[in-house]
Amino acid sequence: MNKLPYFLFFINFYLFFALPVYALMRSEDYELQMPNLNFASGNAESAGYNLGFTGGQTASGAYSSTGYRALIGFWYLKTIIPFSFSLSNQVIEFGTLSTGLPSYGTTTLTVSSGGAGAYQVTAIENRALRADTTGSAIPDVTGDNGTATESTADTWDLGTTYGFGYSMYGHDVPTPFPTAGPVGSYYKQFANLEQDEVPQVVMSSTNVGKNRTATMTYKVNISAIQPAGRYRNAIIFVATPGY
Amino acid sequence: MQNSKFSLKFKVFLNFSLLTFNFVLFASPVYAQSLSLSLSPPLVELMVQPGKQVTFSYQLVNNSERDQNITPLLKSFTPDGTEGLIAFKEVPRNNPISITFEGNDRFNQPFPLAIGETKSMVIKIKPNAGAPEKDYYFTLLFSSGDLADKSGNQTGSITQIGSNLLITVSKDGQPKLTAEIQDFNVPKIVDSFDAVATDLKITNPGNVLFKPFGKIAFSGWFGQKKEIKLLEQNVLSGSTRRFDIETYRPKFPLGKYTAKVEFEPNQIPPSVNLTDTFYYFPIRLTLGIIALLILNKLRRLIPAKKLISKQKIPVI
Repeated sequence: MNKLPYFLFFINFYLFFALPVYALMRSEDYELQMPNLNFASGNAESAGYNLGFTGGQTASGAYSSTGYRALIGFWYLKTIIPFSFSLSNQVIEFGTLSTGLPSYGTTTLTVSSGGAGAYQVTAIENRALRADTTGSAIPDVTGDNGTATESTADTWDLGTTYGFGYSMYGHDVPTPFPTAGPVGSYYKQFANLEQDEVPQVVMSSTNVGKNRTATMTYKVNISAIQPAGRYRNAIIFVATPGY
Repeated sequence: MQNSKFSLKFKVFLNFSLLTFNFVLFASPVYAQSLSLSLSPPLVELMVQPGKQVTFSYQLVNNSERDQNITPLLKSFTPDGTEGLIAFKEVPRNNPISITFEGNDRFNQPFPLAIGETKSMVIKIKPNAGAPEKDYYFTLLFSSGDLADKSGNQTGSITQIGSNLLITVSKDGQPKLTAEIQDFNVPKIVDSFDAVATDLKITNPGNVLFKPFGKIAFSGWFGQKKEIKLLEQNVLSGSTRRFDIETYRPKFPLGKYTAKVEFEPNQIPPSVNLTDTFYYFPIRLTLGIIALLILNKLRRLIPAKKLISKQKIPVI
């Protein structure tokens, strides 16, 4: 008798019913962090409202007296939303660089910020793109009009404009970057840690939000006199909630 | 024989379908070639007596595609602007607040965090016995990076995710709170077809943060009233914060209205309040009527001129 179907059925049974346990339970005097024992609970919604409720908790609410303030109840903890940040590509490869032929790379930044409201993501490069063997560097781009800095953007369309910079589009990006793709013509330099420049905000919002996404495009273009070598640096992204 | 084969094939097909369904339904999200971290809680507010210790727990989750080496860091911060954002600075050498990990974790010492792993860490906070009674603001950062030394021209990345610590040192738990209204602006004249937008900024010149508990009350003709509750957002020591206020449009938008903002810092009297006055007037409607009247007047004048110009004066 072929036992394969029964084996597969067992696998399905296990996966379907062995649901992940969301409650955090510990041994040795048990510590229940999130679960709440009550007679009713759930989520309800209408056109304009979302409601989470629990029934049966005694003495829930806000209490204060001299020297303390206590928030008692499941929902004071439940609404603590983790702050999360992700980067789609940790390492951007530019390949072989050729004079007057820009190379591009992209990474996507995603932020979810709920509990504290407001968030910011800053970026700064640890140094200019530099070849360790020769010490030569690809300078930060100044733009077609020579006005790009770490805080001011300039257009970068000319093949005779050389350097390294970035552009962005998406949620919560600073002006003049667009809120939707494709990437525009405006580029900025990265703030430079070696030069004690201040990290610049690349995403920020004063509102709570889930999966706020922006795409960062790196661009590098070298001149004919750029010495050969392997050019490297790193971008330091710092994501923090507000207060 | 054929019937049993058909039955076997059907069973296998059914089970593979269910298997695929279960994986799709219950599979954890995979972040391909990415770094992804989440940290909870994002914000901690504490009031501690000098010389006393408090502890609380953080959870850091690695949702990345591969294992990470995480380095915990501690920074100090100051409020940056009026929107609830921050600017880092190094922790002062004479910092009177001791912040350490319980267990083997140490600041500036990396620890491994496997794919999908959640690491719980307990933080101990203890102000020195002589710590000045005021606020201290810190950010707990967890740093991970990939500076892989691969061949070619490349840019690596270091990613840091943070959680903010707002610590108030107080001996009696009743620190003095100081609040001021820096800006409370309502447009003086509002078009009757528009909702009025209010600008509110609250300043904290004191040493301890507070949350404003209060409202903005609008009142006008015919007993019209509307109260808008203030968001109880933190106003940190030595900073100003702008508050988003929803717009207001009464049912009968005409005439004089007042807007009064009133709040108590941390629900502790005395309250702080300020009143402003504005007027609803149908500006666009009035301008439109005036424009029509002018056009009508011009229209009447133009035919008379044409009649005069077309008449030929006979030459004698």
